[in-house]
Amino acid sequence: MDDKNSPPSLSSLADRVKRARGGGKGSLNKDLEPGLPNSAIGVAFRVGVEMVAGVVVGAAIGYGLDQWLGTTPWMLIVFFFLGAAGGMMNVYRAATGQGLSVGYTKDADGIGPTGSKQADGESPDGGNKEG
Amino acid sequence: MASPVEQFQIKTIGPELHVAGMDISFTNSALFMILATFVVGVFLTQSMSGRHLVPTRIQSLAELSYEFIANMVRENVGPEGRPYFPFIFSLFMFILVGNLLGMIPYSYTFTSQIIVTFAMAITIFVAITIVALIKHGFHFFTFFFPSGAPVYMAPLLIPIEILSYLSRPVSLSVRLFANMMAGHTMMKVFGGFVVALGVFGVAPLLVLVALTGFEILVAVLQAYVFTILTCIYLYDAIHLH
Amino acid sequence: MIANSVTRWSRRIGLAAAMAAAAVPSWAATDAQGGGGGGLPQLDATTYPTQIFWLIVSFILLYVIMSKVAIPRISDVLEERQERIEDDIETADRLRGEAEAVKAEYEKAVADARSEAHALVRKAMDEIAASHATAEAEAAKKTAETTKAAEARIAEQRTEALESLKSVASEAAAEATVKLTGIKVSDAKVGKAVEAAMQGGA
Repeated sequence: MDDKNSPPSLSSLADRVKRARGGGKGSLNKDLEPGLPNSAIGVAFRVGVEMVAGVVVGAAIGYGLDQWLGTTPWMLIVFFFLGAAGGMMNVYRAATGQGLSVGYTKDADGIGPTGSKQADGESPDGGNKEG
Repeated sequence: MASPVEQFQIKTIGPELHVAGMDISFTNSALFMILATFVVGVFLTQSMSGRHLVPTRIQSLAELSYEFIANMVRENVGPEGRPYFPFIFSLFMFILVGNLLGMIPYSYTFTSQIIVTFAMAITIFVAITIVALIKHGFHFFTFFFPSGAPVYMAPLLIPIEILSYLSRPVSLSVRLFANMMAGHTMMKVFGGFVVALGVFGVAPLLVLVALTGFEILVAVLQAYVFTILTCIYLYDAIHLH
Repeated sequence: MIANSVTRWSRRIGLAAAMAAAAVPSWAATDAQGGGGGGLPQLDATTYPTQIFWLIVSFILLYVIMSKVAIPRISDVLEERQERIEDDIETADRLRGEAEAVKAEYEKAVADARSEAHALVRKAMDEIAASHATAEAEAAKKTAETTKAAEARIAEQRTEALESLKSVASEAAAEATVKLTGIKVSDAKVGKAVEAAMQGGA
């Protein structure tokens, strides 16, 4: 009778040891997996900020060049649109899960070490689905 | 009713200080920056002073924030991000505590100042660009031409890419600043309604309570977003595409 | 030079903030409300030097505290705990191995004991059976001997009885003859006659 009771407890101990060894770090990472709630307001707000930032930078550079070269208002107009395009590019990248990186094609082997690069508002595996 | 943006007014505390023609007086904004540093410093050093193997509640909070950022850097920058960890951790704690301190009534939210967020963003931007230049030299500039695009598109694409790159610090700083400012302004407006409507102020009061909860969430979220974008930019600088 | 760049930047940022405000209607409204006080306080460039100065001071202070005190302290504790956990797991695993060895040993001992006991029982049974057989044989032998002796004795007694019967018969016959006839017959003659009668009668 005694030797019938001990084997289950020993094998469960072995299981627990295995779990403690393998699971220690994994569970921690799982809890801390980055990724923002992908709310519509959040996305809309981020998109707005990206656009505005592009336009602002374009306009500022255009204005500066106009002052320097005396080409008022042409540089401002040109750079305003370039900035808007740049902003849209950033929006596009953010929306397609390519992060906010410059350079609009992905590397052949995906987008680097992690799928959470697009965590800026995207679901954590949004980019993986793409790639 | 006081203007809802009056809360963002910078007020000098104590004597005015002028150095090299610049006004560097101690202000309410400066007070809360120092306070944030103090709170973070005390929290992270005192909670760990016990060095308990089984952490106390406050110690596990400190450890949790450490591991949160450590994982963020590991996953978004990779092993090369290790030397930048202290900076990124300080950045996160500074913004987080700054945002949260701002939620205390009568306090001041220094992250609602565009100059503060922009100073942080431009510093990060310049530093990251320097890291990229040191690491990759002139190869860095190939960053601005998307691989695979037709060459005749270069005159159009390169300026767009450069602008898109330059807009990073602006979007980074505006995002944080605008979130904090919009939240605090809304709270002030609804607070004004509560006072103005008297007995009927219950409705805006409920909105205000909900808004306060939401703002605390935003405070944490924006600190997180600012930090993770810094990590992503750093990853780009180190690896280039 | 720093001051210069600060003011230059501040102009641009003013533009940035104004555009940001324009992008979101709710801010536009607040901007309008705050407009009476000379615009947003955030766009007042005269406050920029002090804010940047104190930002630099507090952030550098924080960075130094973090990198010199807090981070080493936390990572030490975390490492120590990791080591301790690994140690504990190691110990648990080792003890588990030991326990398994002990269990196997115990099971072997039990099995040995069982087979030994079996052997002993069988041996004892064999011995008992053997002693049983000898005892039986002995008893049978003894019985046979006793029977034989008894038979011999019976036979002896029978001959004895027959002898005595002969003499008694002779005496009786002689007496009877005397009484009946008055003739005294010699013992030898009587004996002969009795014997003949007995043999004939028998």
